[in-house]
Amino acid sequence: MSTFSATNGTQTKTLVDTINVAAQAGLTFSTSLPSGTANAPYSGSVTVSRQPNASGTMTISVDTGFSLPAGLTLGATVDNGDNTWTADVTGTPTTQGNTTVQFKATDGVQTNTKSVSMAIAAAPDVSITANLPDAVVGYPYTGSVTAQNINGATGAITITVDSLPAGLTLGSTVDNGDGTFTAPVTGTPT
Amino acid sequence: MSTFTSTFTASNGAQSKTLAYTFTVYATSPITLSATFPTSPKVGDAVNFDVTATLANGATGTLTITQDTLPAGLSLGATSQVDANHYKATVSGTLTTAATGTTNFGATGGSVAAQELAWNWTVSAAPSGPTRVALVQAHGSSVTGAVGAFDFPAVDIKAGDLLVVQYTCPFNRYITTLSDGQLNSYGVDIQWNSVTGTKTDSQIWHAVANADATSVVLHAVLNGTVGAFSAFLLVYRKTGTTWGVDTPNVKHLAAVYTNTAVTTPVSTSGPAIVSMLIGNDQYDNAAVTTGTWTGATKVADGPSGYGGVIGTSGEYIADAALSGMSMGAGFDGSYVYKDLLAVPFTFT
Repeated sequence: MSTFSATNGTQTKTLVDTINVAAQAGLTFSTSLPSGTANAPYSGSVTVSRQPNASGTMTISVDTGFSLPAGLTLGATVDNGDNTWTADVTGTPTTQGNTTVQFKATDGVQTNTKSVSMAIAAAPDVSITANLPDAVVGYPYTGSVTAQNINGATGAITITVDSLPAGLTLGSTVDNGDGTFTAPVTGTPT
Repeated sequence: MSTFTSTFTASNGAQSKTLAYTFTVYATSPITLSATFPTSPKVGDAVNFDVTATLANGATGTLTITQDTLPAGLSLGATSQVDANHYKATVSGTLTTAATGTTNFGATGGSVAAQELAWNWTVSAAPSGPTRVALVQAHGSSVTGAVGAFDFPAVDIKAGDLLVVQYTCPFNRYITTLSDGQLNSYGVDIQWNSVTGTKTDSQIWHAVANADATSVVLHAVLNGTVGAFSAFLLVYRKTGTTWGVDTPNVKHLAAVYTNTAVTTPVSTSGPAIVSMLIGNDQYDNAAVTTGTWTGATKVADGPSGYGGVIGTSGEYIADAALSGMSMGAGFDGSYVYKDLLAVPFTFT
């Protein structure tokens, strides 16, 4: 309740009134969950804040019925000392794809949940394909092996082989200029 | 057949990938190609033959028949499937250039490369002379006191065609003449001894078909007490509308009644029409044999039979240069008749 006064030096008037103050929302989420890449280490976090006058031990978890992308785990909830608590999401995702995860925060009195979409991209890689017909002894042979960078992989590709049928050899890898690299397989099978 | 597994690795320094591939190595190709190539192709020849690819021994694939360089004027058509194991493509066109080369046919799309099929070709220049477009022949005989008349089969002709008639008969059984009207034109205006026809020899005639010529029937009349004849009509055609110069050069080699060899060879430098007759008269069934001519192709045997008819003869034609021809001896009988005629024509 507050009393307001207004005066002009001669007259004074007072007003007594009550100002209602609404309570702050109980638990508030903030997340730092960047996109990840399969087979690459991942690091993110989920943070929950609470009004100063609240009490109870805060716990952040993955809500029932949800799970993190394969390979990731949610760490223990850490009290940051400023009415915020954080749980880290770490690990190495093993599968690409988008996953909806619902986090849950509770201090025993208040509970809140937060749904987050987590994206895991495919890992940079190299693909390799062969165009190798069957061979005939004594007949000139022509085939090829082609490779290319995929999922953001970069760098010149070199194609090698452990061994080939007698009479055949693998030529040098040539950059085709279109993102693919080809090595010929030629010779005359003996 | 054997197998061999190789492992290929592709690496960009940061990432790598391996691929294991198992080769199948055949001792002989299970995909084979075959074709029947044209023989002695010449410029202007229309060519059409199939190249067939055959799958065997488990080879698979939808084949496409390929080639490298074909003779000018030819092309390879699309490959079509004949049945489960056969594919074919047709080479067709008209040869345009005289050349020598090799065409290698192959087949792609199979589980194994097809063995190539090599066509070693030589395309000859077009014949310098005209093309013979017709040849008809007739034989006939008449008995004592009779006159025989014989119509040749009708021949389609075109304006500018060169018509040549040659005939032979034994002894004194002869075709008296072939005068105007005996080479009849049916609906056309061709007459021997006309301004377009020339009697070049008693046994050789030629004429050039007039502008409205469409067909002709040679009508031969045999006028002898007992006689036989053998004759043929040839029609030559060349590109263009008219003949430049045609110069028959008749060589009437021999007409002898005795058992004497005719050994004088004759050679020609261009297209030639040649004929040979060996016969015996009606009184003497002599054994006769034909001689050997080099460069001439025998068209047909002449008539034979009862005395007075030509015993054994041959009618020959040579469209190319002759290297020589002769008749040997060896005839039995005093009345053996033999005759060699050669009519080299020069076409320009």
